[in-house]
Amino acid sequence: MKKSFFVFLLFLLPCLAFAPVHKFYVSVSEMEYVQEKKSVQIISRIFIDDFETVLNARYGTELFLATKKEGSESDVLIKKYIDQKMQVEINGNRKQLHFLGKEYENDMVLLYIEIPNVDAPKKVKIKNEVLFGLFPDQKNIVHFETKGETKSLLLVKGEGIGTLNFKH
Amino acid sequence: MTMKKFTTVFVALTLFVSFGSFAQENQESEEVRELGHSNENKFRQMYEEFSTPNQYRTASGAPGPAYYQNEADYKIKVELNDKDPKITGFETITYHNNSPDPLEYLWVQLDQNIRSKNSQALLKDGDGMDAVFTPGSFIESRVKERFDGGFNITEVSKDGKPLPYIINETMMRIDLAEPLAPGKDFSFSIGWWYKLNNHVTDRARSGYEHFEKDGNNAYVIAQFFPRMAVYNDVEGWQNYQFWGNGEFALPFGSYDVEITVPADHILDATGELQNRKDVWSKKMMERYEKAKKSYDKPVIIVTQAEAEEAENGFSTKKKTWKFKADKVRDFAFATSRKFIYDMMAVDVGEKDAMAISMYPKEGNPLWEEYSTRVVATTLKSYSNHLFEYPYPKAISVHAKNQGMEYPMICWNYGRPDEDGSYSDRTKHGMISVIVHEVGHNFFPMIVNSDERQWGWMDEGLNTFMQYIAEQEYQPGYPSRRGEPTKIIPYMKGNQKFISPIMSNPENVHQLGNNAYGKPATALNILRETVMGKELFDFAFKKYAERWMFKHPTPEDFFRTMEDASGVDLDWYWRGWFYTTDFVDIGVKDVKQYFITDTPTKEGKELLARYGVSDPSSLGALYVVTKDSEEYSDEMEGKSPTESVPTLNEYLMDNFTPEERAGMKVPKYFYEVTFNKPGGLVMPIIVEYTYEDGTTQNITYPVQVWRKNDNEVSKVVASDKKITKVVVDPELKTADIDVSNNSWPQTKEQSKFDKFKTENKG
Repeated sequence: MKKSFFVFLLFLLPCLAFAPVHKFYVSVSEMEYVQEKKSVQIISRIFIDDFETVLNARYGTELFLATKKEGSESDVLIKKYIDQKMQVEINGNRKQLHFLGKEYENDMVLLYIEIPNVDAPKKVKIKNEVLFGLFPDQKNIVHFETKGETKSLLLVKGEGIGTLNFKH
Repeated sequence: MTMKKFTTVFVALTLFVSFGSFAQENQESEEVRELGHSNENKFRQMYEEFSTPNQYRTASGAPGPAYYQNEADYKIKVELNDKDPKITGFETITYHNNSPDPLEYLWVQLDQNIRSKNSQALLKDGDGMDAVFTPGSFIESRVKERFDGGFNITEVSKDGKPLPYIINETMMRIDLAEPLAPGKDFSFSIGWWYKLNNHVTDRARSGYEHFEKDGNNAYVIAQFFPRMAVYNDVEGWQNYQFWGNGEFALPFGSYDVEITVPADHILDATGELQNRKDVWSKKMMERYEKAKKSYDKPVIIVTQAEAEEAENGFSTKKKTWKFKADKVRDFAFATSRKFIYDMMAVDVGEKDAMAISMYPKEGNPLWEEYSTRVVATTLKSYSNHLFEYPYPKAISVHAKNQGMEYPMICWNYGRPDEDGSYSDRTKHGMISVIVHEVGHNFFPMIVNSDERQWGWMDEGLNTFMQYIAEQEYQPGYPSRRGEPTKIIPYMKGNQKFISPIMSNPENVHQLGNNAYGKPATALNILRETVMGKELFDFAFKKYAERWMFKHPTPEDFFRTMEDASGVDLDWYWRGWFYTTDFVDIGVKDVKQYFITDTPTKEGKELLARYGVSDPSSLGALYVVTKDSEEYSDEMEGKSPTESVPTLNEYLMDNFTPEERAGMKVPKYFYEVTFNKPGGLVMPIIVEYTYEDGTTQNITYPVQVWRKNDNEVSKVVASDKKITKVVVDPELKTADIDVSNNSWPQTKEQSKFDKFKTENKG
């Protein structure tokens, strides 16, 4: 009895999204395998305000992203956050993500991440649970391109991991 | 004149080229007999998608001679309980049946029922189990009892006698003893109450924000009364349930509303305040007189010091604020003892409107500086492009995380840090949301489209206008949506997660791109690249004027845009609005041609098919490519008049020296082939670069794709050698892949590599 009550409540969270419709929770990550460099290049676009809210809530900081008040600790925390929330497994091997830095474009932050020493990806498993902790209806879209073939994932809370298979 | 003759010479040349390719195609199709097909041409007219025009809505996109709309007039009395946040109300609705149909029952919308404990909307999405919870989210989602914020209906009656009704989720059907005949009215009353939700923790379009420090609430209240549904020629009753994304469909009417709140509250609402002298202090009245004449800056009516003092009051006395509004489709209000209040006059045309802001001190210094000014510039921009703002006022209320629109009043986010500092991002976020929400007064509050069915008709059109207003507010303003390149990440995405614009808001994966970003960008491209500003602006204004205070459908919009501009746009609506196709046009090949008077093998064969056995008698010109047998290095860079003496003779024989002086025989001939991996047809914008570094831009009309949807070739004749061909050099078409846009193919450093290089060391 108690269990079914819990299961029922599971459905409640995303529904609170009855909401200021003009606010949308979407991030887009473009991942590309560059054959000459044997590396996967990743650019993740995330709304600055949401990202800042999550980092501050998680690490108890006041980061002031994209302002003059932003200090150097933000990159350290972003790196830490990415390590916790994003994972990429290529051809069955868990890969190290190298956070190179970030830049701001209007209200978005662009995270530059690289995975070096990668053989042609055939099977790619991606976890991207960025912002799920605070925003139940956050959607993380991931595009992965290798040798002209692009496949995409739409990751949502509870389904933050997806696998892509490539022909080449 | 000279140009024309000059062209005819080269039409003759290209004729040979086209004959050649025609012959090849013929041979191919003889080999395999393909099955037939129906009309799949991207330029076919939209007879199948559009409904047949009729007496209600004409083929030109205007309201027809039999157009009608029903109306609902409201007399409402509500009281706000501040201590235990709650609304209690009683209303009398007079519904006017202007339709030709007798109505057997009436449908009333109970939007707050989406917040009732057992709402179906709570179960509408799938979900999965998480591996880990924070204690807080676990309690919130799994343990705490669900807030129950639905309507409690206490009475439905006519002249004091109960009326039978049934509630189906967010819709209530009221059964009539006898049908409401065409042209007749029906008055009935509803009593209700409901618990107000905290809109910050509960994320809603309406509710209150609680301020822990001083114990006050700031209320932004909407969907607070049972509202009539729309009955019309398109949907019958629009009683599609409110699931949370598809917003509202509402009839126009007049409102007479009395709102009772604690006596120390500052309140404003849709409509004109009827008892200003009773509810405003003498000081406020004096400042108001100044504000009505202040066109350049806001006048503070309630100062921050006064608001801060009021915060401690918690008056147990009550005050009733009385409003009247005509020709509005909805009513909303905001109230709190925390509110600072400022206003200024705006000249929008024949009569002035008042631009107003209400905000708690937490919004300052940002709000005092920008809000009312932005309201004013928005009203001016929109009035210039559409029609004069017809309402007496427009209020921007500061509410945390909110961006929501109602007639004459809207809620907007944008809050400085606690120390009063704010980033450019916060400032621009606030300005943008104010422009957007104030802009909604035009779409859908006045041009009253059906939001429940078509989110893009108000959000898309308004986001497009928002882009224009922002750029007028400050050229180069960092607009979030509108620029063609900004929609590319969405349009090139996985087709599984993309829907055509013509979709119901409940059934799309990415409402922000689907209902706001893509239609706004599509209209911007239509304006700047396809139609041109002059034709577009007239037609867009015509649509707004035709449907002002009426209920348009998508087809009324599509038809008016064509009707008023003389531009056939069926291909554009079909591609951009009815499909998820994207733009991708590239340069496939550039071939150089040389002219000779020596008959070529191909030329001889072709002429033989037309019965010419001795080509030498013809004096014809022949076209040679670099890889053909007949090519020789001497041909490079030689004028055709040198290569073909008869051409010069022809010119001498047929044109006067004056005419010849105006003619320049080009030296270089190219056939440029454009291909189109994308599904959308678009004009081909090409930049040709010549060896001396000069460039020339040519736009080939979209109609070049009429007969071949995959590729098309163009002959370019020039005096100078072409060194580069680029399609869409200024990124105006949202071409999702520009790696194929250049000849010779250039590999630009990727965005990622650029960042890496710039940030090394």
